Amino acid sequence: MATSITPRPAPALPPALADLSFGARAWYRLRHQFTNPESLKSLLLGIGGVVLLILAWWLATELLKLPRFEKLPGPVAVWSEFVSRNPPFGTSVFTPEYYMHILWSTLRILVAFGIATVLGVPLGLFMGWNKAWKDYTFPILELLRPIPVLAWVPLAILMWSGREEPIIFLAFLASFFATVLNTLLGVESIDEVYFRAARCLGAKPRHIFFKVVVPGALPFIFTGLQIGMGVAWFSLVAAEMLSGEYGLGYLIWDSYVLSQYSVIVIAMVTLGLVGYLCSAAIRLVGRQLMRWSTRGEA
Amino acid sequence: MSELKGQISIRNVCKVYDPEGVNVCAVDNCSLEIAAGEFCMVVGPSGCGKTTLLNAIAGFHGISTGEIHLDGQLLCSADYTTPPAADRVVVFQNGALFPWYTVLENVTFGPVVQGVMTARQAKRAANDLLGELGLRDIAQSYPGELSSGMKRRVEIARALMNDPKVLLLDEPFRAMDALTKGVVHEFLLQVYDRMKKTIFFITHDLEEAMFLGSKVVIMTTRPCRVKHVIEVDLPRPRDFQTRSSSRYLQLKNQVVKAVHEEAKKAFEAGERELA
Repeated sequence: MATSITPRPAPALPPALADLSFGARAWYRLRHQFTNPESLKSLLLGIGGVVLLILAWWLATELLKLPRFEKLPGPVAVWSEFVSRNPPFGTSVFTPEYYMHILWSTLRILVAFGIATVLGVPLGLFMGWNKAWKDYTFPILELLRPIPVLAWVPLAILMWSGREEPIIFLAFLASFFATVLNTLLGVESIDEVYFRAARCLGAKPRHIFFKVVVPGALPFIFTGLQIGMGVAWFSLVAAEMLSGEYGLGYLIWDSYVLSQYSVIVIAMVTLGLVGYLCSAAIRLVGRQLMRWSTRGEA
Repeated sequence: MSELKGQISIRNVCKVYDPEGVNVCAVDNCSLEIAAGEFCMVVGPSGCGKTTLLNAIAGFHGISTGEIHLDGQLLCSADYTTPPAADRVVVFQNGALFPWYTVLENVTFGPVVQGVMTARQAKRAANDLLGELGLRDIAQSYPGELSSGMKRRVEIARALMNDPKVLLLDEPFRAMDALTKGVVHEFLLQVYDRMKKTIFFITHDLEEAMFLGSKVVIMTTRPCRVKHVIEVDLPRPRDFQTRSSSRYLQLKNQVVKAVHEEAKKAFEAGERELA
């Protein structure tokens, strides 16, 4: 009679891949995109969609000049501004101003998002962890949360004297609520059985907090951070339109006022790209911290 | 008396729930003696209140009247409940391995949080235990990568790592297919033969109870009361062939007869899941 059955784990990744370094894994995934027929097909379809969108944009604005589209900048105009060494409206990949705008917006986001995370995650964890604490703070949170961030603009200007503080405050506010709420949901989503199991195994409250509550809430926390990042950009651009002298939101509004319409599109696309990179960075960190959930879905 | 390890004495325990102003009696005047090192199977229809009894022993909630003792020490009474501790480890119905920890981290969890071992000592001890139980190859896997049978074995290993006096198993093999069940049954029998821990095992599967246990306690349905206690004198070590031995079949017949009446009553009471 067999004394034991040989266990066979089923790894989700190719066996060798799980042990590779981060860079090697990224390279594997990239190569996989181009060599695997299925992935290649999705990639080509994705590129095809974008090409079609640009084509439609070009037809509407520059070739057919459809009503309502005739004043909008077309892709050719935008592209020629964007890659010009001497851009007519002063914004291209060759002008330092372009990078200053990106830098300012990104720095503001980093500060706002950073503060929102540092304050929001612990607050959400405590609210989920301690019933009294939740009873105490939840009504306040639920009263303030539905207020659109733009409604805070006057108070933000009254509260903060400088130029940067109100902008950062508004971006922080939006991000903060998303982070707190999702962290709280994350703690509440943890199955009661894990708390019982931990107590059975002799865990004290601090162990339960750090070894059950925090890792158990992590998937929701990262969802919250993703949403928080999105709404932070949203409020940042709105705030930059109101004040500021650098930043992508400011650039959009300024170009509108000066009738430099191609620059608006450049700034919009740049916002899309930078926002995507920020989300991707959060996803990356999340994946590193939650190998158990990405590897586990075998 | 000091060498007693894991003797449970349940004396006249009642548990009354009061969810909406209506008293619901889950356990009614239940008494049971479990010797140290005994493999005790508690059988009853689902929802009859056996889990209530297990939760009281584990320390998850209190009882309304009566007393439960472990090795002569009071575990709980009407106005006292010993909080959960690692001397009575539960293996849960749907599994409770921490999905965010590897098998090794799960198994070392107990001794590390109790402070009885350093992380390094616990790791070495866990590796030894996993090796002994044939689970060494999966030490670095996450629970999400394992089959249900494997997860249950790891969970039993995690419990054993604390050297508990009592293992409390709450229908741990309930949702498993027959083949997987056969494998984990043999695993548990080997564990028992090696460690001789007191086991308090809840099930609604009568055959499982006969096959594994030394003592089978049959409970009545709501309120939960002890109806029969059957000593199962099948020799150990047991394996899958035990199930076709004549003594097993003879005992089974006897027990089925005894239980039939209760099953009928439960069925009439609207219970669909029966032994």
